[in-house]
Amino acid sequence: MKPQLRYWQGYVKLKLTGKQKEAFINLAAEHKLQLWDIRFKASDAAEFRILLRHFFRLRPLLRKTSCKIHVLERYGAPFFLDKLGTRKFLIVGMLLFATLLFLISSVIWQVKVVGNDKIKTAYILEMAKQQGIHPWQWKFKLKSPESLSKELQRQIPSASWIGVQIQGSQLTIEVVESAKPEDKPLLNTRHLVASTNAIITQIKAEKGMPMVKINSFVRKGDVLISGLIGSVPNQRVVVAKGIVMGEVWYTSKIEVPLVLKQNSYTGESAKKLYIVIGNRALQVSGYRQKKFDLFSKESVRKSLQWHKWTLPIGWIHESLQETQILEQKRNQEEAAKIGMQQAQASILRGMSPDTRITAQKVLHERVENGKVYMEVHFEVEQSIVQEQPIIQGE
Amino acid sequence: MRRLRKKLNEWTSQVIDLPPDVTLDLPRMTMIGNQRIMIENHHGLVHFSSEHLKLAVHNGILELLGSELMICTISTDEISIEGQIDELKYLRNGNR
Repeated sequence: MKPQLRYWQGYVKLKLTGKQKEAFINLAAEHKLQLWDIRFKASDAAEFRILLRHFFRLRPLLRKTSCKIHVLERYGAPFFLDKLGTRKFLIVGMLLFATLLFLISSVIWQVKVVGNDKIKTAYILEMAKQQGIHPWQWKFKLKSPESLSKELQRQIPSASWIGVQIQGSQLTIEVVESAKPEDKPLLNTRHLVASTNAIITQIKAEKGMPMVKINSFVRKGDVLISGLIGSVPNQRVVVAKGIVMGEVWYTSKIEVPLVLKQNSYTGESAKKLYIVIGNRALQVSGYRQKKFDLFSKESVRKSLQWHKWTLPIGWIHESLQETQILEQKRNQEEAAKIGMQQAQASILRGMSPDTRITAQKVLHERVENGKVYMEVHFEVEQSIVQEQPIIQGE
Repeated sequence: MRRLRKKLNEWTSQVIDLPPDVTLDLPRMTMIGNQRIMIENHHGLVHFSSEHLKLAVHNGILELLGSELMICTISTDEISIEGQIDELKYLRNGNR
């Protein structure tokens, strides 16, 4: 019999005295009583253990063999429970502990507000209190988190989303504030001045006093639209605003090779598979394939994942594609054309969209070392406005 | 009559090739080192002390000598003994 089962049934350790101990043991075995750990002790006594329910059937056997028993120890659940029954306060304490644990765990201990920046935490807590969210509140008294967050959202319109989450004894209110459009920066009073040397082609003053006329030449730094209006006694300072377009001259140096080298795929490809362990990769397949002199490589690495952890085991798919260099020859005319396009693009790059090229003129063109060298003059109409703050008290 | 039956039993055990412990009621002993012995088909305890144990078996007495002997379990036909077993003797009927 398993020791655990014996424990649940309960057993006793007995001391046996008398002359016919062997006969008693034989008799007990015949009656199918479970005896175990029978030890012979000095002074003519033996010790053994017996199941509690067999203990009560011992008496006739003892009488027959004129042996005597004496209970030494009691083991097992029946005795333990019996003992427990006499200790009422222990049971009361256990129950009290269980209920207290249950009660404590069904109370909100902490209310946390997360994610608010402009809305004050105290305000949110105030609003939450109206919904019954506060420390020491019973969890079962609260509405469901979904309806709580809906109610809070109604009360705090400046938040675009509010989430309520209960984790154990902590309640978290997560706030996402609605983004308000940014206030326009206050403009300083200013002049508008020329950013480069140019000839004015167009001037429109929205605010301020235009200082230059169309077709006049301005240098860098010249005031175009002044922020000071009115004559001296009634002079006022404003934020000058307007559009000033001017013609600006640029000279570009261009060089274009006559032979164009281009990478292109040949259509040949190979695939390789690696197994990765840690930071070592072992090639598994793709050994018997052509080797390429020129190729572009693309590899995709994948790792095994378990829950949120990435395991250090994975594989890499690598695909190689053979490339070749194509040489394309151009004549001087084509090269010059391409050069012009490149130059135009580089001038217009980074400029406002109303910029346009009004005229272009090749100043110089020569072929040397397989390249076409050119020098081109561009006339570009562009905005030449630059701000210059007016410092008061000057 | 008893002798006849005994002879018959012996004869059948030979013919059918059954192990003698099944047909002849002989004890079957399993011993693990000198620490533990299990005896089936015993006929009851005759004497028991911590050094000396006598067990009735078919046609004789089984004598165990050792020290710190302890009966682990006992039932009508099976007994298992633990302790340090030094000697195991088979006494036939008559010369106890």
